[in-house]
Amino acid sequence: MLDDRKIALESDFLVERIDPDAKTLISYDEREIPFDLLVTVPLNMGADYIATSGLGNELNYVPVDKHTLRSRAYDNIFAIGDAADLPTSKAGSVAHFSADMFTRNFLRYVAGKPMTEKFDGHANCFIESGDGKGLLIDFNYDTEPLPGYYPLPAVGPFGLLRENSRNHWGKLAFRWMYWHLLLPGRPIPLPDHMSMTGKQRPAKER
Amino acid sequence: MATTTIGGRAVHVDPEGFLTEYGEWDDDLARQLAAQIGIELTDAHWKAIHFLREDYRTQGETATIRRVTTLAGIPTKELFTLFPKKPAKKMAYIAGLPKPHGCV
Repeated sequence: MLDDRKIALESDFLVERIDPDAKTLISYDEREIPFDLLVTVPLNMGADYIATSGLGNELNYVPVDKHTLRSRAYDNIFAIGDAADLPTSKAGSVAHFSADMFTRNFLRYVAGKPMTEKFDGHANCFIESGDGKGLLIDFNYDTEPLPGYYPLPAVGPFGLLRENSRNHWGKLAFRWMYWHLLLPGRPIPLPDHMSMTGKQRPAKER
Repeated sequence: MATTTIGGRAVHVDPEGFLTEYGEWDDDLARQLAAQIGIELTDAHWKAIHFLREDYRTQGETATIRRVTTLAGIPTKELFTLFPKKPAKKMAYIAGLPKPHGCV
């Protein structure tokens, strides 16, 4: 897809400075990339109040156990959503799936029972690719995005890691779901753990 | 898990060659690992490597570049000089720690 669109990828490029006059990006190891229009994402950091609380790490996230969201420093503190340092995307899907598991676990914890559930790092997201098409990816801590179908094997209706118009329509439908189901906290019929059913592993990994 | 022989010693590694057993590493092995990727370790390298080892022991995760610059006080520019092109991966490799992971 990148080749088709003549998109060049320069990996491991850490921007040290931008020369606005020469319209050039310069990396720490002195590589230079010219630009006409620059769209850049600044370093993603947690909230300032986490830094002042003394609970945060160097990025203002609270270090937690990645399966239970419990602080690694204090047994009686949990951090959810973008406050935690889970080693995955700061994505709405991660906040949602982890909160599903967390609620059940936390209720057990306050009742003095052991926490039996573990968050697996499940995340998914639509990626709009233009011209009325999109992709969908679904992954967790251990499994990279794989091709296949979601949420049901073989029938989908959404295709994983492939570009089609159905994924784009799914994204538009999700806008409604977001406001009317997710935000009011209504249950949605999607499991919080990632499923390998419906996914195809590349042949070399079998 | 696969094993490989580095400097006459059998160690456990993942498919990309990163050590998987924290306890199998020592300074001598680090020199061998560094030599495999064309790096000769100086005091400046050791400062970063030993920080990574100690940080992993307490945190259970390989430190990010940001963490090394903030907590060990080594500027990003210097890390790119010491471990050219891919400092995060090269430091982890030499320190015998898991490859740092991106978000996807």
